[in-house]
Amino acid sequence: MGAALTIARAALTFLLVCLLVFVITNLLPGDAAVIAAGQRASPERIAALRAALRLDDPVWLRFGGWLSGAVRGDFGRSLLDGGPVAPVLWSRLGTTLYLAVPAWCLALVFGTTLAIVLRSAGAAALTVVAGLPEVVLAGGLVVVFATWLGWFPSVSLVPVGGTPADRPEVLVLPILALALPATAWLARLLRGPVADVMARPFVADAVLRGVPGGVVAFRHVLPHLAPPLAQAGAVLAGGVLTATSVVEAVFAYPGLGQLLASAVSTRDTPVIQAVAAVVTAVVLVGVLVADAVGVWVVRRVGAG
Amino acid sequence: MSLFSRRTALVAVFGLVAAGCAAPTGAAQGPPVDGGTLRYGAVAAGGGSAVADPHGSLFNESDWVRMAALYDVLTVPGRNGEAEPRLATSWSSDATASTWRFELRTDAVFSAGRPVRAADVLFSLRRIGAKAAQNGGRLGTVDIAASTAEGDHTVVLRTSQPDAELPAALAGVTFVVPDGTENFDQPVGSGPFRLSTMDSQAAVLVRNDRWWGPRPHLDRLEIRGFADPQALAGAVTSGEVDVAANVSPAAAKTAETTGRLTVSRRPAAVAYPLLMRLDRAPFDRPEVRRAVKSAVDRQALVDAVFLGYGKTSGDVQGGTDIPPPSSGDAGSTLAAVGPVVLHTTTAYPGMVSAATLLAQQLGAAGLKVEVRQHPPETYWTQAYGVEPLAMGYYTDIPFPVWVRQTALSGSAFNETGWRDPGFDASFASAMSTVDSSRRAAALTQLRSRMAADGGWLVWGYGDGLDLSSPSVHGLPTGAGFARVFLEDVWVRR
Repeated sequence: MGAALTIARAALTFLLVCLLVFVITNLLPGDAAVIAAGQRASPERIAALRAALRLDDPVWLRFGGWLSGAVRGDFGRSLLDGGPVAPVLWSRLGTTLYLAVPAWCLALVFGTTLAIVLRSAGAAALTVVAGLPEVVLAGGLVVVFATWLGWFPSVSLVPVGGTPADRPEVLVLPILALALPATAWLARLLRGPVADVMARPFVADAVLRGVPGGVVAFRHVLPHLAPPLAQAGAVLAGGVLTATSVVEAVFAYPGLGQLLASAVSTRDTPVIQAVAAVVTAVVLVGVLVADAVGVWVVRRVGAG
Repeated sequence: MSLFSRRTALVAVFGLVAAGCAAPTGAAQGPPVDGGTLRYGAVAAGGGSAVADPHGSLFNESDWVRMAALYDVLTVPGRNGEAEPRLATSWSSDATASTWRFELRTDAVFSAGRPVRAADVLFSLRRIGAKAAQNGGRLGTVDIAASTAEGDHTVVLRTSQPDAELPAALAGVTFVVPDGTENFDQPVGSGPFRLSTMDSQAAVLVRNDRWWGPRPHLDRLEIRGFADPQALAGAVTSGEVDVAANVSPAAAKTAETTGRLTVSRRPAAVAYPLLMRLDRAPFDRPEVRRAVKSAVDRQALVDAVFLGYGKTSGDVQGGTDIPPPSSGDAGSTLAAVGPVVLHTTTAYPGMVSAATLLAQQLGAAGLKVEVRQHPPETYWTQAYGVEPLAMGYYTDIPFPVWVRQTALSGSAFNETGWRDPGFDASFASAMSTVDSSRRAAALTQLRSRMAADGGWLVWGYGDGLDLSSPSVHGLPTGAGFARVFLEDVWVRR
């Protein structure tokens, strides 16, 4: 019963976010017809384009049409190039996962480790790194590792018809650009919970019994960190996916983020909607999993 | 000993560095070399995937380059803005330039094996005509319903009005597909290359050995779209692509100072004119327009906006052949005019810097100008062609095409409100003049008149700038769509 309610709530949230994105996109100045018409377009030409793209239909009708297709996996056609959105979406998502998954894993591992090792030390440094805009960080990484040292390419081009796995070296800098701020953010967030767990009697007891620090961290601290860690991980997944739009632009990496950025600039509503739906779904599933982890840990480990 | 060897190593390193720097200036390029791949990068600001339909809206430069490689066109842009043969070997018109016969080559074949016939050309032109809203009226004056195919190798095009410049107006844009084609996922063309693989970012084309023209030197052509111009410049600098097409003057300057890349210049490819509306105060007064035109320092604008990659010009679209007006003392006229707002947009970086500098120069001459920026999404419909004073953007489309778009009484979008029945008549008369030297003289006269009386302030033209690795040769240098035809390029590895 509880599970069904949770899923229903998640589905409603998903729907509301999609609707919100649709409404906001429609509120942006200009539309796909104006963009496609370009310069020196007569009002008649813009009107003809608008009619051809069915942009004249009421917003609710267009959203309804989009939604009924989307639930069946049909994300419609791009307003700009006329091609179906779904194949592009899935291929771009796959390309982005080559960045997002490693960056997310690195951030989880190193963020947690840093939180446990540093505890209250290094707070200022973490704040600075966590607040560093990705575009600055990515630019800095390019200057140092591509321009000066020449270790990695300055743009991350993927072979035509291939996958990023064919050229793993192009992944290093964008993954770092995503992972570094995420690591610092997670470490900063987990410092409080770490301090709480560390102050518990069973940790002090283990330390007194002479259990090595690493074992204490793994066996006694980490299980109690699981609920906040799972929640932070879910938020982090959304954060990393969002940050790809900036990082992918800097590295000319053909992923979901760049797809979203160009779709917004050309008011390509079906593409914007599809990307937003995927990102929203990832975050919602992450939050649901995090909640489940929390419940499971409380049942197993108890209140401490 | 160890000291000696270290010095030797140092000398060797310096020698290598010097050799690396000297390489691009080596003038001896020798005869063309066959083989190899050209990795061509161009800006592709919009769209998740590359456009497949050659007749609709081609939003990105990378799409144009791919279409020009896959498909043949009737005519291509040649030197001095004249059309050169491609699929059409010759053409002629009646005495009023209203009926045109294009004779087609007999040896062109589609990559699927079938010969190219007049019916294919007519079908393709009909498709382009039917998609006029999408492609911005690419067929121009052609009355496609009245046009016919005669036999297999003659197309007769009729125009809605006399158009002696039709072959030039159509140059580079009439991509020919097999009769009946509506799906372009597996493109079938008769151009110098055919498609090998393609994904949402790039396309790989291979040489079409059945092309009728001179055998292209390249084995493969890789065309990649870049959403970010900066990433494109970075890609050619780091050797990830061989050519970065249409880069900013700043990127070209940087490349020139580091000396590792070749900068190719296509003259008079772009302009950012100042547009004064003739139907709005204060620019409805001819003396105010003349004063503004004589008050600007054109060379300073070319130096600042195009970083010297350009040339000053007279005040009309279509090239730098009309001389600029003599600069004069405009202070008394301008001082009497109240403050004005100059509207501009971030659509092209040069439009903001040009507007800022123009405002400064006019301010120094006594006219107070406030610059107001608009986002590209709203500028072209809400400020450009609406406000009394705004910045425009010109590419090197043929002058008659531009006139019909925006300078006739009947133009659907008139950017300065230039409406003059006398001009319309003179233009129509020039366009029905079949004799090319008499027509050229008539057009020059019209252009001088526009420059003197119009609301255009075309202070200069910037070059189209391509960056390439020193191993790349034969990049197009012609005007207009000549830039997207790459079959003469070769690479020395």
